[in-house]
Amino acid sequence: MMVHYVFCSIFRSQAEQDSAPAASEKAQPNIEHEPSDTLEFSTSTTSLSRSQTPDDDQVKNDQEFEHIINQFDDQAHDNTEHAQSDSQQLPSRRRSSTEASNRNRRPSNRSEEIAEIPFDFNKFLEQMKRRGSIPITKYFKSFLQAFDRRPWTVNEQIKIIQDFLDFIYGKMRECDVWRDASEQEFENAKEGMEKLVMNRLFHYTFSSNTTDDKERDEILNHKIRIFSWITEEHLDIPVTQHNESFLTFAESGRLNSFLTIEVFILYSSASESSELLKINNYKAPRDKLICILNCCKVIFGLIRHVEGDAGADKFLPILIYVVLKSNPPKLVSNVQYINRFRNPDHLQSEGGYYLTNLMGAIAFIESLEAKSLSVTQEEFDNNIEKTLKEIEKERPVETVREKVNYDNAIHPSQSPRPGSSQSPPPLIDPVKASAFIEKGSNFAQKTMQKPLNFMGKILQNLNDSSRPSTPDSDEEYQDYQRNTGSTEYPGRQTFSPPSQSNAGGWAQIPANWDPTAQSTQHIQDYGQYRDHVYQQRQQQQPQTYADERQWQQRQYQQHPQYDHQVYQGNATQPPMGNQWVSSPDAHIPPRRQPPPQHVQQQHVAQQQHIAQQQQYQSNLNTLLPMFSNMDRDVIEMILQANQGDLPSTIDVLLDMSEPSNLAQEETTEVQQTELPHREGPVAEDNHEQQDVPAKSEENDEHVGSTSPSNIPNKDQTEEENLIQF
Amino acid sequence: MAARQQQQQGTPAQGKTYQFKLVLLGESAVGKSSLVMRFVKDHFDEYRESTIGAAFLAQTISLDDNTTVKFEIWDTAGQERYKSLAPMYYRNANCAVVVYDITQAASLEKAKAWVNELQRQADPNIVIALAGNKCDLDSRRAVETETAQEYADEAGLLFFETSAKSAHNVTQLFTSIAKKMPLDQLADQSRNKTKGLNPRGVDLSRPANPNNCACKKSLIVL
Repeated sequence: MMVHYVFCSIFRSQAEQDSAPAASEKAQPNIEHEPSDTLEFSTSTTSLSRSQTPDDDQVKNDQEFEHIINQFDDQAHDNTEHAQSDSQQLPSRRRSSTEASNRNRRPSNRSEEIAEIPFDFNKFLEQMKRRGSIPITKYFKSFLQAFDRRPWTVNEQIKIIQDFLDFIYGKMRECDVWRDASEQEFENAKEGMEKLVMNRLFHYTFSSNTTDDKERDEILNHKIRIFSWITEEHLDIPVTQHNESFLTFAESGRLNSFLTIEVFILYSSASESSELLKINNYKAPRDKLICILNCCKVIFGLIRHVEGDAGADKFLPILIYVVLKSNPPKLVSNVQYINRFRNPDHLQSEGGYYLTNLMGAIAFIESLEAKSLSVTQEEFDNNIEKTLKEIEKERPVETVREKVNYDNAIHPSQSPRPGSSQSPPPLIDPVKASAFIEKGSNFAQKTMQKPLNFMGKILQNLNDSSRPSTPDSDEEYQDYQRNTGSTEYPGRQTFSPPSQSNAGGWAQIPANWDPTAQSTQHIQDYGQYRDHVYQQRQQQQPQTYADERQWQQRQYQQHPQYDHQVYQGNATQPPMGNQWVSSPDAHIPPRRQPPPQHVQQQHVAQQQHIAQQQQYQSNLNTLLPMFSNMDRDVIEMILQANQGDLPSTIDVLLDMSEPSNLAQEETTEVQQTELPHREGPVAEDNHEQQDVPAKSEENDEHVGSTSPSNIPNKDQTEEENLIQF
Repeated sequence: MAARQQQQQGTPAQGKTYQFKLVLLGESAVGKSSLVMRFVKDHFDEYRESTIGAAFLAQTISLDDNTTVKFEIWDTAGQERYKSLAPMYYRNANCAVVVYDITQAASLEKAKAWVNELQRQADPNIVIALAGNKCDLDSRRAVETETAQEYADEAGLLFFETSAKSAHNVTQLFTSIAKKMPLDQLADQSRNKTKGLNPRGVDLSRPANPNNCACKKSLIVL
């Protein structure tokens, strides 16, 4: 009770503070830098909007407002208060406002409807800055602060936000700015408020930790990659006989009057997907929904062009195909976010229908099996196996490409590397190469005795960005080890222990792991698991460790056999998992001696050793053509130094070929004395790690800044064009 | 029922508009979309709402001077492979039109399956109409009118043989549905309903998905 009281009084005093005249200036900067990326889309359904609420009693208002945030606090003590406010306060407001709106609604005529006022977010922000809307700004700020107080479950978020919006709409109707606004204008103001609130609360509400959205995103993403072989025929989307020539047309962008559905599909995989992909450029549910509607609109435009009007029979397969071909990131999160936080009135008719279609497309892909497609079971299985192999093969290559992109992004001054289509440029300057080989010969010796400085620096750089920055937890881990004498740490099961080699880690595919030997389901699960772990590790919050553990347990219960594989590199069994350490060929002694092995484990380890050697050779074969200008010995040395791990070797080799790194290395070498003990994650992660934040920052800028950035403006004009499609 | 009552817009102020969600089911190529297009296009003078495409259409019809019914028509993909998605579409639907093709006997069997499913899983108050489409192709008829009529009576459905091509019975079909909707009851319901307590949005429980272990948590409904 005490806590509740304090909370309320803080809340109120904050509100009072804000109402002081000076506060209006304070409040303004908050809304000033809201995005100017207003999307426009006209939905002609105007919902029942609330008119003035009759009660102007300030105390009652405050109580009501507090109730919104406090409704989930300390259920026990709140019960009486709750009952009171629930039965009297809110319903009375609702009822009265509904009645009022029925009573007060002006008889509008059709001409008014046609002259629809477009939604203009900047206008709304301007209105919010007026003196008349100070009380609104005050409530808004208090709400944001109150929302920040503690984490809410997603259900609580929905309820709180919806209640706040209902509340603030009532207040807005009463305040000077909107008192005389037309229904349409006020509808726009409500839209503006929803957008403002959701822009601010985006990071709390999008893909929140109390949902499984992130897991579903990863699973969907992985499934779509596995189903990359699906063509129009598999979904019975009509295809013409002249695919080849049309394909050329589409590729060259010369769309002409021979257009067929095939070309449209090809064309649309570029254009609609970009409609769908834009979804992540926006924060407000309204804007995200518009992205979906625009995507659907383009699809219909294309269908109409070919065969006149068409219904869902033709639309849904194309939508599914577009999702499959574009694989929009975070699609589940986006759809769920819209479903939860978009004004329900606008999820009723057309918006609701097309959102349902997209959800249907997701559900279809999530449960896709052979009989969902025009394909035999055998063909289905073969295609999946083939695709999985390709995905595995592509991984390192992708790594290189991403790495280059990332570097280019952060060092725009560096000359861009030519595309892969051209002959590979010399990756390393011959002079530097010779200097490097010299260094390299010291390399092996040093690695025998102590961690190499240069490597250490690179690895640390890589790992610092790839691992959740939890220095505390490393110490914690060591403390834990000291105290228990165990290498197992409950909070960090999935992280390779610091001194373990990454090569045998679970996050990497075991060297002897043969995808073809596994059942399809198994492979998928493995991939899902791995993707899941990648993604989990990108989380900064420690509590995800716990989630992860639960997830593992669940996985373990379902697939004990693969769990064994996955965990063979885990802390509990270092000899088995630490492939390169246990290999006689590896020149790097482990920093800590593994505990004595069981005889059985030795046998397994021997078998593994053979596989490891093969893996090593194949890795080497992969690397040699990639770095054709580098000396074979250097590559081998670095591969060994990386304990056979291909992606990290590629990274190091790439880093070596960077002139700037060579220079830096000289200066930093002295400072680095120890190989960082965190080697756990494979390098592949690093890129995902580095890439993701970079992208999201970009997105934030698109949406969050007033400075005219190209992309939103472009989007906007495109969006406007599409509306007139 | 999720019907919404609205003040009439554009006609005398005392009129009332009831808004219903109508879901369209039936095998692909039986002419579901054409049927609706005919219905919507024949009333082009009325208020029409379609900004995206023909899979979602809205059409308003007047029952009498005071009563207007607005249908929001949700088309569904009829192919067998999308069958499991249907619950997402017919959820909260107030009425359904199940279409078959009188020249394809199998399409009536499919229609019966849809009717069964709707009666089992959809809103218990849902009004269902059976439409035997393509009745302009009488020479190729494979389903006798009496057979279908008998079934419809048995299952408690509205029944019409329609032709999207000739517009035969199309308006009658939708008007009968509108008349069969329990308007008075709905009016009371919607008046008493407080908006904020309604289920949020198009709550879409995804169909059962045995392959997917990570989606056990149900969707969010307040």
